[in-house]
Amino acid sequence: MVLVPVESKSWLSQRDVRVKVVVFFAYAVTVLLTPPNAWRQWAALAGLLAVLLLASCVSLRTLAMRFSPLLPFIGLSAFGLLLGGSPEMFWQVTVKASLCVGIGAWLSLTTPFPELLAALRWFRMPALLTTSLSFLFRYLFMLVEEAQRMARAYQSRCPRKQRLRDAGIIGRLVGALLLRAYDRADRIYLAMLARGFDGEFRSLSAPKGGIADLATLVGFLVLLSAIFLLLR
Amino acid sequence: MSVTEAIRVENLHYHYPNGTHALKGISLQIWEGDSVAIVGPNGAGKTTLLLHFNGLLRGNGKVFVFGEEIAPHNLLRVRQLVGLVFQDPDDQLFMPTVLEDVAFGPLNLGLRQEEAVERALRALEAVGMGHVAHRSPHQLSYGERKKVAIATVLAMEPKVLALDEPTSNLDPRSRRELIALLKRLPVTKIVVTHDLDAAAQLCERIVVMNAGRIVADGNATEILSDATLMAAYF
Repeated sequence: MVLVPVESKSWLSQRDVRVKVVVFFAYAVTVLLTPPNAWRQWAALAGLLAVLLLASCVSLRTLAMRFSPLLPFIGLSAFGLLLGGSPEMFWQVTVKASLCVGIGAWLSLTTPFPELLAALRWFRMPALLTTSLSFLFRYLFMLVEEAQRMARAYQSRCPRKQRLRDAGIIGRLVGALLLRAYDRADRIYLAMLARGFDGEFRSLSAPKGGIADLATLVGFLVLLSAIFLLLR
Repeated sequence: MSVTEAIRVENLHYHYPNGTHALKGISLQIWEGDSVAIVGPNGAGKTTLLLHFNGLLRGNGKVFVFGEEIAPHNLLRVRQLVGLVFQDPDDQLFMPTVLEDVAFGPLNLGLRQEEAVERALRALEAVGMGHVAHRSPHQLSYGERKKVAIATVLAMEPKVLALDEPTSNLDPRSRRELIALLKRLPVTKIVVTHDLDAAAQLCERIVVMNAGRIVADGNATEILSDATLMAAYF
């Protein structure tokens, strides 16, 4: 789900991906640098995030789903309160985590993953990492489909409800899936060699931005700085 | 008018690491402009032979591409001349977007990004897939992925197009479209296939393999009309 963004056609979504990556990191760092009980700054940052999400025409339902993995951690943190933990720490962790997840959700919902990878390459992220992420994005869906096919085949021949003692069989299915993935990796490598691959990954670079992208970036950084410095 | 020799194989033997003797003394000549189908039962060595044409496998014997023996120093040139389309398009489409996949080959040939993108878009138009350049391969249907897989190889502007089971798993309409597309391409074609009807439509010459050997090589109509041959190997 994280790898399949909503197709947003808003003006903000169509900004240069590199600008959006800088916005993400600048926002996250600003949130993390805010001191405890910085309620005015947190409110302003939450407001800024809300403006970003509204301007990007992000669906509320999809956004809510992106926040759902955070709930167990907030629950655990709340449980810590019951055991005598500090309310100040609880709110700091909850608010900061929510804001950071929020800006991450904004980036993922407004940026196709391949474009994000191109931007990361432009920022000189190690090629091994971006290439690994690229293959992960491409083949994750295939692995899931393959696993679903194997699960259907298993359930067709094992119509009763699965029990704990079936864990061994399921483990062997997972092993078979890994072997199939390994075989496919072999064939993919041959396909890469057949098209002249020599060990160096050459990829298309991110398209160049314009004045609008620069203005967006500068405006956002000015706002962030104002929130951080003036609302202490 | 002289015809250029595209591929020549001389007494080729190949053993897989598990000891299987997959090719037993294959000798073959394919001329520029030929359309050749390589047919035979499963395990005959058809795909193994195909993988030798661009140096992916190196057996005992000699393989010449346009007069030059395949050797480590000329592999890039050979792989530009002989484009190989794999049976499963998901093995061939490994980049996040279609455009990046089709541009992968031209970039490896040393082309600048602008030229690589231009070639990629031309190749996609040639297979009727220009409208999917910015989509991810997993968003395409199987037939569309087959066409894009062909485009990934066409973008390298090969002189020989080698295809492994191009019509497998295609519905009748996609199969017809693919056969029509392949017929339009002005390159030497080598097609490994079980689809004898497609072989008859696409190729003037058929090579029949069985158990690592060539058992028949001739005009497609004559080969397919030979009832004894067909009964023996199909």
